[in-house]
Amino acid sequence: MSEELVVAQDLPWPPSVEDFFPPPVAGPWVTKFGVMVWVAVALLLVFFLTAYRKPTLVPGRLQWMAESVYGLIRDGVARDQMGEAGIRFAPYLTVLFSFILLTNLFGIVPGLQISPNSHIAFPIVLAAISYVLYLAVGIRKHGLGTYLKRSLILPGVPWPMHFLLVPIEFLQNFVNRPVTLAVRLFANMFAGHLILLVFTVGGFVMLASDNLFIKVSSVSAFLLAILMAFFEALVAILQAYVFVVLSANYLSTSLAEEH
Amino acid sequence: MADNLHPDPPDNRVPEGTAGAVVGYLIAGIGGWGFLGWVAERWLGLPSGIGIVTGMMMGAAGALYLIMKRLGA
Amino acid sequence: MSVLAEIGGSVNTIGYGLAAIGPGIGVALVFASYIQSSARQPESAGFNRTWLILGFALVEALALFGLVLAFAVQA
Repeated sequence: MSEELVVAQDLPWPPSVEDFFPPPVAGPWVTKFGVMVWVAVALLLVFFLTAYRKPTLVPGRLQWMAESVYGLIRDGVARDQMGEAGIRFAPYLTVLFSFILLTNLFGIVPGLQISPNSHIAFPIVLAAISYVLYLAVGIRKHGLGTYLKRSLILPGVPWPMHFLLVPIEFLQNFVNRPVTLAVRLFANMFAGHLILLVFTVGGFVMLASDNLFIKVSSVSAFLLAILMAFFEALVAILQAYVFVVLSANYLSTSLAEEH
Repeated sequence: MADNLHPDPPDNRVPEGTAGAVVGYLIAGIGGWGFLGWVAERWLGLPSGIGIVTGMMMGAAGALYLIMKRLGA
Repeated sequence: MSVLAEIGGSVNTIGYGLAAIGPGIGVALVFASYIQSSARQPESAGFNRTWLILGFALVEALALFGLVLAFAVQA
Protein backbone atom coordinates (compact mmCIF):
# COMPACT_ATOMS: atom_id res chain seq x y z
CA MET A 1 0.00 0.00 0.00
CA SER A 2 2.56 2.57 1.06
CA GLU A 3 4.87 1.49 -1.72
CA GLU A 4 2.21 2.14 -4.34
CA LEU A 5 1.51 5.51 -2.83
CA VAL A 6 5.14 6.45 -3.31
CA VAL A 7 4.96 5.25 -6.90
CA ALA A 8 1.87 7.32 -7.51
CA GLN A 9 3.42 10.42 -6.02
CA ASP A 10 6.48 10.07 -8.20
CA LEU A 11 4.42 9.72 -11.34
CA PRO A 12 3.53 13.01 -12.99
CA TRP A 13 -0.24 13.44 -12.96
CA PRO A 14 -1.99 14.64 -15.05
CA PRO A 15 0.17 13.76 -18.09
CA SER A 16 1.58 16.82 -19.76
CA VAL A 17 4.01 17.87 -22.46
CA GLU A 18 6.84 17.50 -19.94
CA ASP A 19 6.41 13.72 -20.18
CA PHE A 20 7.65 13.88 -23.75
CA PHE A 21 11.08 15.06 -22.63
CA PRO A 22 12.82 12.21 -20.83
CA PRO A 23 16.11 13.08 -19.13
CA PRO A 24 19.14 12.94 -21.44
CA VAL A 25 20.96 9.63 -21.58
CA ALA A 26 24.50 10.99 -21.46
CA GLY A 27 25.19 14.69 -21.52
CA PRO A 28 22.94 17.22 -23.23
CA TRP A 29 23.60 15.94 -26.76
CA VAL A 30 22.66 12.27 -26.38
CA THR A 31 18.94 11.96 -25.86
CA LYS A 32 16.69 8.91 -25.76
CA PHE A 33 15.28 9.88 -29.14
CA GLY A 34 18.64 10.21 -30.79
CA VAL A 35 19.64 6.78 -29.51
CA MET A 36 16.34 5.31 -30.70
CA VAL A 37 16.74 6.73 -34.20
CA TRP A 38 20.27 5.33 -34.45
CA VAL A 39 19.02 1.97 -33.20
CA ALA A 40 16.25 2.00 -35.79
CA VAL A 41 18.72 2.80 -38.58
CA ALA A 42 21.08 0.06 -37.41
CA LEU A 43 18.28 -2.51 -37.14
CA LEU A 44 17.01 -1.74 -40.63
CA LEU A 45 20.52 -1.88 -42.11
CA VAL A 46 21.25 -5.21 -40.45
CA PHE A 47 17.85 -6.62 -41.37
CA PHE A 48 17.98 -5.78 -45.06
CA LEU A 49 21.69 -6.58 -45.47
CA THR A 50 21.47 -10.01 -43.83
CA ALA A 51 18.21 -10.79 -45.59
CA TYR A 52 19.77 -10.19 -48.96
CA ARG A 53 23.35 -11.30 -48.38
CA LYS A 54 22.91 -14.65 -50.09
CA PRO A 55 19.73 -14.30 -52.17
CA THR A 56 18.25 -17.58 -53.28
CA LEU A 57 15.54 -18.26 -55.82
CA VAL A 58 13.41 -19.95 -53.17
CA PRO A 59 13.68 -17.42 -50.38
CA GLY A 60 14.42 -18.32 -46.81
CA ARG A 61 12.38 -16.90 -43.97
CA LEU A 62 14.35 -13.66 -43.54
CA GLN A 63 14.60 -13.06 -47.26
CA TRP A 64 10.88 -13.72 -47.60
CA MET A 65 10.12 -11.07 -44.96
CA ALA A 66 12.31 -8.47 -46.60
CA GLU A 67 10.93 -9.27 -50.02
CA SER A 68 7.33 -9.07 -48.89
CA VAL A 69 7.89 -5.63 -47.35
CA TYR A 70 9.55 -4.44 -50.53
CA GLY A 71 6.91 -6.13 -52.67
CA LEU A 72 4.08 -4.57 -50.71
CA ILE A 73 5.45 -1.07 -51.23
CA ARG A 74 6.58 -1.61 -54.83
CA ASP A 75 3.37 -3.19 -56.07
CA GLY A 76 0.83 -1.83 -53.63
CA VAL A 77 2.07 1.74 -53.43
CA ALA A 78 4.61 2.73 -56.06
CA ARG A 79 3.12 0.93 -59.07
CA ASP A 80 -0.43 1.50 -57.91
CA GLN A 81 0.03 5.27 -57.56
CA MET A 82 2.54 6.09 -60.28
CA GLY A 83 2.42 3.25 -62.78
CA GLU A 84 5.58 1.69 -64.19
CA ALA A 85 7.45 5.01 -63.90
CA GLY A 86 7.14 4.77 -60.14
CA ILE A 87 9.17 1.60 -59.73
CA ARG A 88 12.36 3.61 -59.41
CA PHE A 89 10.99 5.30 -56.30
CA ALA A 90 10.16 1.97 -54.67
CA PRO A 91 13.47 1.69 -52.73
CA TYR A 92 13.01 5.17 -51.24
CA LEU A 93 9.40 4.47 -50.32
CA THR A 94 10.31 1.11 -48.78
CA VAL A 95 13.01 2.66 -46.62
CA LEU A 96 10.63 5.43 -45.60
CA PHE A 97 7.91 2.93 -44.73
CA SER A 98 10.13 0.61 -42.70
CA PHE A 99 11.78 3.49 -40.86
CA ILE A 100 8.49 5.14 -39.91
CA LEU A 101 6.94 1.80 -38.99
CA LEU A 102 9.85 0.83 -36.77
CA THR A 103 10.07 4.20 -35.02
CA ASN A 104 6.28 4.24 -34.57
CA LEU A 105 6.35 0.78 -33.03
CA PHE A 106 8.93 1.99 -30.50
CA GLY A 107 5.96 3.71 -28.86
CA ILE A 108 4.64 0.40 -27.55
CA VAL A 109 7.89 -1.53 -27.07
CA PRO A 110 8.42 -2.03 -23.32
CA GLY A 111 11.45 -0.09 -22.12
CA LEU A 112 11.38 2.44 -24.95
CA GLN A 113 7.68 3.31 -24.81
CA ILE A 114 7.82 6.54 -26.73
CA SER A 115 8.04 7.07 -30.43
CA PRO A 116 10.57 9.57 -31.79
CA ASN A 117 7.78 10.64 -34.14
CA SER A 118 5.88 12.10 -31.19
CA HIS A 119 8.35 14.98 -31.42
CA ILE A 120 7.45 17.23 -34.34
CA ALA A 121 11.11 17.51 -35.40
CA PHE A 122 11.31 13.96 -36.77
CA PRO A 123 8.12 14.06 -38.90
CA ILE A 124 9.20 17.48 -40.19
CA VAL A 125 12.47 16.06 -41.48
CA LEU A 126 10.74 13.03 -43.02
CA ALA A 127 8.14 15.22 -44.69
CA ALA A 128 10.84 17.64 -45.88
CA ILE A 129 12.68 14.81 -47.63
CA SER A 130 9.51 13.79 -49.48
CA TYR A 131 8.71 17.45 -50.21
CA VAL A 132 12.11 18.21 -51.71
CA LEU A 133 12.00 14.94 -53.64
CA TYR A 134 8.66 15.56 -55.31
CA LEU A 135 9.51 19.17 -56.06
CA ALA A 136 12.82 18.11 -57.60
CA VAL A 137 11.17 15.34 -59.63
CA GLY A 138 8.52 17.73 -60.92
CA ILE A 139 11.02 20.45 -61.81
CA ARG A 140 13.35 17.99 -63.50
CA LYS A 141 10.52 16.47 -65.52
CA HIS A 142 8.71 19.62 -66.63
CA GLY A 143 11.16 22.46 -66.02
CA LEU A 144 10.62 25.09 -63.33
CA GLY A 145 8.26 27.35 -65.28
CA THR A 146 6.01 24.61 -66.59
CA TYR A 147 5.90 22.88 -63.23
CA LEU A 148 4.83 26.06 -61.44
CA LYS A 149 2.31 26.82 -64.17
CA ARG A 150 0.85 23.33 -63.96
CA SER A 151 0.45 23.39 -60.22
CA LEU A 152 -0.61 27.00 -59.75
CA ILE A 153 -2.70 28.01 -62.74
CA LEU A 154 -6.12 26.58 -63.41
CA PRO A 155 -6.73 26.47 -67.16
CA GLY A 156 -9.83 27.98 -68.67
CA VAL A 157 -10.34 30.82 -66.20
CA PRO A 158 -10.78 34.54 -67.04
CA TRP A 159 -7.45 36.19 -66.26
CA PRO A 160 -8.48 38.55 -63.41
CA MET A 161 -9.48 35.50 -61.38
CA HIS A 162 -5.87 34.38 -61.27
CA PHE A 163 -5.03 37.10 -58.73
CA LEU A 164 -7.53 35.43 -56.42
CA LEU A 165 -6.77 31.81 -57.23
CA VAL A 166 -2.98 31.62 -57.49
CA PRO A 167 -2.32 32.35 -53.77
CA ILE A 168 -4.90 29.73 -52.81
CA GLU A 169 -3.37 27.12 -55.09
CA PHE A 170 0.08 28.01 -53.81
CA LEU A 171 -0.95 27.55 -50.20
CA GLN A 172 -2.74 24.31 -51.01
CA ASN A 173 -0.01 22.72 -53.12
CA PHE A 174 3.18 24.00 -51.57
CA VAL A 175 2.31 24.71 -47.94
CA ASN A 176 -0.65 22.54 -46.94
CA ARG A 177 0.76 19.32 -48.32
CA PRO A 178 4.06 19.04 -46.42
CA VAL A 179 2.53 20.55 -43.29
CA THR A 180 -0.34 18.06 -43.16
CA LEU A 181 2.05 15.23 -44.02
CA ALA A 182 4.24 16.03 -41.00
CA VAL A 183 1.46 17.05 -38.63
CA ARG A 184 -0.66 13.95 -39.29
CA LEU A 185 2.13 11.59 -38.25
CA PHE A 186 3.18 13.76 -35.32
CA ALA A 187 -0.34 14.24 -33.99
CA ASN A 188 -1.17 10.54 -34.15
CA MET A 189 1.98 9.53 -32.30
CA PHE A 190 1.65 12.36 -29.76
CA ALA A 191 -1.97 11.54 -29.01
CA GLY A 192 -1.23 7.83 -28.85
CA HIS A 193 1.50 8.32 -26.27
CA LEU A 194 -0.74 10.62 -24.26
CA ILE A 195 -3.58 8.06 -24.30
CA LEU A 196 -1.29 5.31 -23.04
CA LEU A 197 0.03 7.65 -20.33
CA VAL A 198 -3.48 8.55 -19.20
CA PHE A 199 -4.53 4.94 -18.78
CA THR A 200 -1.38 3.51 -17.21
CA VAL A 201 -0.46 6.41 -14.94
CA GLY A 202 -4.12 6.94 -14.15
CA GLY A 203 -4.38 3.29 -13.18
CA PHE A 204 -1.53 3.67 -10.69
CA VAL A 205 -3.04 6.85 -9.29
CA MET A 206 -6.37 5.07 -8.81
CA LEU A 207 -4.61 2.11 -7.21
CA ALA A 208 -3.03 4.43 -4.67
CA SER A 209 -6.40 5.83 -3.62
CA ASP A 210 -7.74 5.27 -0.11
CA ASN A 211 -11.19 4.46 -1.44
CA LEU A 212 -11.62 0.73 -2.02
CA PHE A 213 -14.04 1.19 -4.91
CA ILE A 214 -11.63 3.43 -6.84
CA LYS A 215 -8.82 1.02 -6.08
CA VAL A 216 -10.74 -1.90 -7.58
CA SER A 217 -11.83 0.04 -10.63
CA SER A 218 -8.20 0.71 -11.54
CA VAL A 219 -8.34 -2.76 -13.11
CA SER A 220 -10.47 -1.31 -15.91
CA ALA A 221 -7.85 1.39 -16.52
CA PHE A 222 -5.11 -1.22 -16.89
CA LEU A 223 -7.31 -3.34 -19.18
CA LEU A 224 -7.97 -0.33 -21.35
CA ALA A 225 -4.25 0.44 -21.38
CA ILE A 226 -3.55 -3.03 -22.79
CA LEU A 227 -6.33 -2.63 -25.34
CA MET A 228 -5.01 0.79 -26.33
CA ALA A 229 -1.52 -0.64 -26.79
CA PHE A 230 -2.88 -2.96 -29.48
CA PHE A 231 -4.80 -0.06 -30.96
CA GLU A 232 -1.56 1.94 -31.06
CA ALA A 233 0.11 -0.89 -32.98
CA LEU A 234 -2.65 -0.59 -35.55
CA VAL A 235 -2.24 3.20 -35.69
CA ALA A 236 1.54 2.82 -36.09
CA ILE A 237 1.15 0.57 -39.14
CA LEU A 238 -1.63 2.68 -40.60
CA GLN A 239 0.21 5.98 -40.22
CA ALA A 240 3.39 4.61 -41.76
CA TYR A 241 1.34 3.34 -44.69
CA VAL A 242 -0.59 6.59 -45.07
CA PHE A 243 2.61 8.63 -45.02
CA VAL A 244 4.12 6.51 -47.78
CA VAL A 245 0.93 6.45 -49.89
CA LEU A 246 0.62 10.22 -49.71
CA SER A 247 4.30 10.69 -50.58
CA ALA A 248 3.84 8.42 -53.59
CA ASN A 249 0.72 10.29 -54.57
CA TYR A 250 2.43 13.67 -54.44
CA LEU A 251 5.23 12.18 -56.53
CA SER A 252 2.66 10.97 -59.03
CA THR A 253 1.24 14.49 -59.43
CA SER A 254 4.79 15.68 -60.16
CA LEU A 255 5.23 12.92 -62.72
CA ALA A 256 1.84 13.34 -64.40
CA GLU A 257 1.82 14.04 -68.11
CA GLU A 258 0.21 17.06 -69.67
CA HIS A 259 -3.44 16.46 -70.37
CA MET B 1 -27.45 -4.81 -60.23
CA ALA B 2 -24.56 -3.25 -61.98
CA ASP B 3 -21.27 -3.33 -60.14
CA ASN B 4 -20.14 0.14 -61.06
CA LEU B 5 -22.69 2.20 -59.19
CA HIS B 6 -20.25 4.81 -58.08
CA PRO B 7 -18.02 5.61 -61.02
CA ASP B 8 -15.05 7.69 -60.04
CA PRO B 9 -15.04 11.05 -61.76
CA PRO B 10 -12.50 10.83 -64.55
CA ASP B 11 -9.02 12.38 -64.31
CA ASN B 12 -9.57 14.60 -61.33
CA ARG B 13 -7.88 12.38 -58.80
CA VAL B 14 -6.44 14.53 -56.07
CA PRO B 15 -3.84 13.16 -53.69
CA GLU B 16 -5.59 14.04 -50.47
CA GLY B 17 -8.92 12.60 -51.49
CA THR B 18 -11.85 14.86 -52.27
CA ALA B 19 -12.84 15.73 -48.71
CA GLY B 20 -9.27 16.55 -47.70
CA ALA B 21 -8.79 18.69 -50.77
CA VAL B 22 -12.02 20.61 -50.11
CA VAL B 23 -11.01 21.40 -46.55
CA GLY B 24 -7.47 22.24 -47.66
CA TYR B 25 -8.64 24.66 -50.33
CA LEU B 26 -11.06 26.32 -47.93
CA ILE B 27 -8.44 26.73 -45.23
CA ALA B 28 -5.94 28.03 -47.78
CA GLY B 29 -8.48 30.42 -49.25
CA ILE B 30 -10.07 31.78 -46.10
CA GLY B 31 -6.90 31.69 -43.99
CA GLY B 32 -4.57 33.00 -46.67
CA TRP B 33 -6.79 35.77 -47.95
CA GLY B 34 -7.94 36.60 -44.44
CA PHE B 35 -4.31 37.08 -43.48
CA LEU B 36 -3.66 39.23 -46.56
CA GLY B 37 -6.73 41.29 -45.70
CA TRP B 38 -5.55 41.69 -42.12
CA VAL B 39 -2.14 42.86 -43.35
CA ALA B 40 -3.75 45.32 -45.77
CA GLU B 41 -6.01 46.62 -43.01
CA ARG B 42 -3.04 47.25 -40.73
CA TRP B 43 -1.00 48.76 -43.52
CA LEU B 44 -3.64 51.15 -44.85
CA GLY B 45 -4.91 52.06 -41.39
CA LEU B 46 -8.49 51.03 -42.10
CA PRO B 47 -10.92 50.57 -39.21
CA SER B 48 -10.34 47.16 -37.72
CA GLY B 49 -12.37 44.27 -39.05
CA ILE B 50 -13.01 45.52 -42.59
CA GLY B 51 -9.89 44.08 -44.22
CA ILE B 52 -10.05 40.67 -42.62
CA VAL B 53 -13.75 40.20 -43.34
CA THR B 54 -13.30 41.27 -46.98
CA GLY B 55 -10.31 38.97 -47.31
CA MET B 56 -12.16 36.02 -45.84
CA MET B 57 -15.16 36.55 -48.12
CA MET B 58 -12.93 36.83 -51.19
CA GLY B 59 -10.94 33.80 -50.13
CA ALA B 60 -14.08 31.75 -49.54
CA ALA B 61 -15.43 32.72 -52.94
CA GLY B 62 -12.15 31.86 -54.64
CA ALA B 63 -11.87 28.56 -52.81
CA LEU B 64 -15.44 27.58 -53.71
CA TYR B 65 -14.80 28.48 -57.35
CA LEU B 66 -11.61 26.41 -57.35
CA ILE B 67 -13.33 23.47 -55.65
CA MET B 68 -16.13 23.43 -58.21
CA LYS B 69 -13.68 23.70 -61.11
CA ARG B 70 -11.16 21.17 -59.86
CA LEU B 71 -13.29 18.65 -57.98
CA GLY B 72 -16.90 19.25 -58.87
CA ALA B 73 -17.14 18.40 -62.54
CA MET C 1 -21.09 43.77 -7.55
CA SER C 2 -19.26 40.69 -6.43
CA VAL C 3 -17.91 38.27 -9.00
CA LEU C 4 -19.51 34.86 -8.63
CA ALA C 5 -17.75 32.95 -11.39
CA GLU C 6 -15.00 33.76 -13.80
CA ILE C 7 -13.67 32.25 -16.99
CA GLY C 8 -9.93 32.27 -17.49
CA GLY C 9 -7.89 31.71 -20.62
CA SER C 10 -9.02 32.55 -24.10
CA VAL C 11 -12.75 33.08 -24.53
CA ASN C 12 -12.22 32.83 -28.30
CA THR C 13 -11.80 29.10 -27.93
CA ILE C 14 -15.20 28.76 -26.30
CA GLY C 15 -16.69 30.97 -28.97
CA TYR C 16 -15.26 28.84 -31.72
CA GLY C 17 -16.46 25.71 -30.01
CA LEU C 18 -19.99 27.12 -29.97
CA ALA C 19 -19.70 28.33 -33.55
CA ALA C 20 -18.62 24.88 -34.74
CA ILE C 21 -21.87 23.27 -33.55
CA GLY C 22 -23.92 24.64 -36.42
CA PRO C 23 -21.59 23.64 -39.27
CA GLY C 24 -21.11 20.27 -37.57
CA ILE C 25 -24.82 19.58 -37.79
CA GLY C 26 -24.88 21.01 -41.30
CA VAL C 27 -22.12 18.73 -42.58
CA ALA C 28 -23.88 15.79 -41.01
CA LEU C 29 -27.13 16.71 -42.76
CA VAL C 30 -25.40 17.11 -46.13
CA PHE C 31 -23.73 13.72 -45.96
CA ALA C 32 -26.79 12.01 -44.48
CA SER C 33 -28.93 13.25 -47.35
CA TYR C 34 -26.33 12.16 -49.90
CA ILE C 35 -26.11 8.68 -48.46
CA GLN C 36 -29.86 8.38 -48.25
CA SER C 37 -30.48 9.61 -51.77
CA SER C 38 -27.85 7.36 -53.30
CA ALA C 39 -29.17 4.40 -51.34
CA ARG C 40 -32.66 5.05 -52.66
CA GLN C 41 -31.54 5.77 -56.19
CA PRO C 42 -28.00 4.51 -56.84
CA GLU C 43 -27.89 5.86 -60.41
CA SER C 44 -28.06 9.42 -59.10
CA ALA C 45 -24.90 9.07 -56.96
CA GLY C 46 -22.53 10.44 -59.60
CA PHE C 47 -24.84 13.33 -60.42
CA ASN C 48 -25.38 14.24 -56.77
CA ARG C 49 -21.68 14.18 -55.99
CA THR C 50 -21.22 17.67 -57.43
CA TRP C 51 -23.87 19.09 -55.15
CA LEU C 52 -22.49 17.07 -52.25
CA ILE C 53 -19.11 18.74 -52.67
CA LEU C 54 -20.63 22.20 -53.12
CA GLY C 55 -22.89 21.86 -50.11
CA PHE C 56 -20.12 20.46 -47.95
CA ALA C 57 -17.77 23.27 -49.01
CA LEU C 58 -20.36 25.98 -48.31
CA VAL C 59 -21.12 24.63 -44.84
CA GLU C 60 -17.49 23.99 -44.00
CA ALA C 61 -16.58 27.55 -45.05
CA LEU C 62 -18.73 28.88 -42.19
CA ALA C 63 -16.84 26.77 -39.68
CA LEU C 64 -13.54 28.03 -41.06
CA PHE C 65 -14.69 31.66 -40.81
CA GLY C 66 -15.12 30.95 -37.13
CA LEU C 67 -11.68 29.35 -36.94
CA VAL C 68 -9.95 32.33 -38.57
CA LEU C 69 -11.83 34.85 -36.44
CA ALA C 70 -11.03 32.90 -33.28
CA PHE C 71 -7.37 33.45 -34.03
CA ALA C 72 -7.69 36.98 -35.39
CA VAL C 73 -9.95 38.76 -32.93
CA GLN C 74 -8.26 40.04 -29.82
CA ALA C 75 -10.45 40.64 -26.84
